[in-house]
Amino acid sequence: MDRLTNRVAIVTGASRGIGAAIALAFAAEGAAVVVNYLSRKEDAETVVAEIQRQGGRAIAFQADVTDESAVRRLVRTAAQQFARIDILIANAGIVRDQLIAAMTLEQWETVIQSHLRGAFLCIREVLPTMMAQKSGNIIALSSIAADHAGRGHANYVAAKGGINALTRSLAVELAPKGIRVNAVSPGVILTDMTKRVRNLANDEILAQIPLRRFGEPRDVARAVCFLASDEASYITGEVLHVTGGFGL
Amino acid sequence: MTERTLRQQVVLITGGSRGIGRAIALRLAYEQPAHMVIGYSMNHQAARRTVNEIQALGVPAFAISTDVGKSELMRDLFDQVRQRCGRLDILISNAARTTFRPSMELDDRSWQRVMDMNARAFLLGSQLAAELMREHGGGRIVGISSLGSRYVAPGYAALGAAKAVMETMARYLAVELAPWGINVNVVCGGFIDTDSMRLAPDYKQLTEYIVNRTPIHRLGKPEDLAGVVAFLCSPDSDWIRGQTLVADGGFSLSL
Repeated sequence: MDRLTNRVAIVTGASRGIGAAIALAFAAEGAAVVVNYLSRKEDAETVVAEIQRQGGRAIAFQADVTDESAVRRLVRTAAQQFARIDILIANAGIVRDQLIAAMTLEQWETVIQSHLRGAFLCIREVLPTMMAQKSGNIIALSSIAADHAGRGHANYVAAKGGINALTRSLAVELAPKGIRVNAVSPGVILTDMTKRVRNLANDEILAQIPLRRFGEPRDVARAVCFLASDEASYITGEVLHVTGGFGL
Repeated sequence: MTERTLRQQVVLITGGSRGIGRAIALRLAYEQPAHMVIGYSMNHQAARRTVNEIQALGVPAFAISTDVGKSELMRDLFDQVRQRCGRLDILISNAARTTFRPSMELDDRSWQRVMDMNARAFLLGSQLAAELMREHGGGRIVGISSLGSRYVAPGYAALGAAKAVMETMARYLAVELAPWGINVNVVCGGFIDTDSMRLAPDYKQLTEYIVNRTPIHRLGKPEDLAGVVAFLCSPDSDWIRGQTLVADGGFSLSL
């Protein structure tokens, strides 16, 4: 496991769930990892401790990805601590599910902002470093929900659709700088975020997944590792579905 | 990757003697499978050379001459794999052949031949492979497609249609074969710089045009697809099912 030796990665929203799994998988591949979190300091420190226990390098760093100056501090800290930035995983994001007729402006905006504004700010902030290196790798977390309609989370679906479009356009814009941009689109993964929907419709969802189980965060992390590795060096602008066949 | 992901496994690659198939063979040989079988149509010398290269990496290998467009020869190919290797874990459906013609000039025979050698070969290969794979708890099938499945290229109608069949069949097979422990995906390459491509009369003009329109600003190499295939043959891709991964340096993004 040494596909990311000497690489430096920032993973946003990495205190738990898919973000934490990506941070751990990156460290196992040899990367130094900045474990970003919003409020779950203890969880983030647990991820860092686990990485260090296995001989890896990691730091936890609090930053709200929708806050421009906080994102600046996050990226500056990463660059100072580890001397470069090779990989950005734009993973942080929240859900505020509601039927559209009842959705408040606050529910709409907090979701759109956490995913889209967050991705924009983090990407823009790492670019000077990646451009100076003439190499970089950006992977955004999308969702199968962007392609397969469901009720009650139009804000989230719109945000993830935006992530897919952002991925494709930035891939074209940043390729000349040696920077690849891709997205990973998970199906229903066993995380806190999907707990509510799994409680509501567990069997109904399982029946639609050919592998008859929910995904584990590490199932997604392994696909992210591939996209971050040199084996994917000719892949850019791709939205890779990691769904166990859900949505086919 | 340092861990060898294909230990104990038997790999069959159709069209494995040259170009993309050869690059896939050598990349997968690095993962130290138990046995590697190369299917090829007529270039005995190239097949022998590739088999030697695989063996030099410490992997037992042999080549079988076949025509993936002929059902009885396909059955014979898989029978030989069963007899000589005892099992099959990975099928790379890579062999491709076409006649480059505008749609108006595609007659019954040429259309049927392209469908047989590309679309039906993928279905039949998957069926025959699945029967072998289920005996040992599952396996992986990877098809090799191209951007002609979704975009228009001169003279590419028949092969593009056949590749679209492959991508669609991969979705059905992924769902239907999931209970057998079989994962089915497709890698879709852009223009890949291979020996057969260098034979094109307008090669220089064509490649200049493509490089200029490719965001990564170079032609694809066979190795660019081989790495993606290796990922789809590893446990890292267990949760990826029925997908078509585009590896084209971003070429198709602004088509």
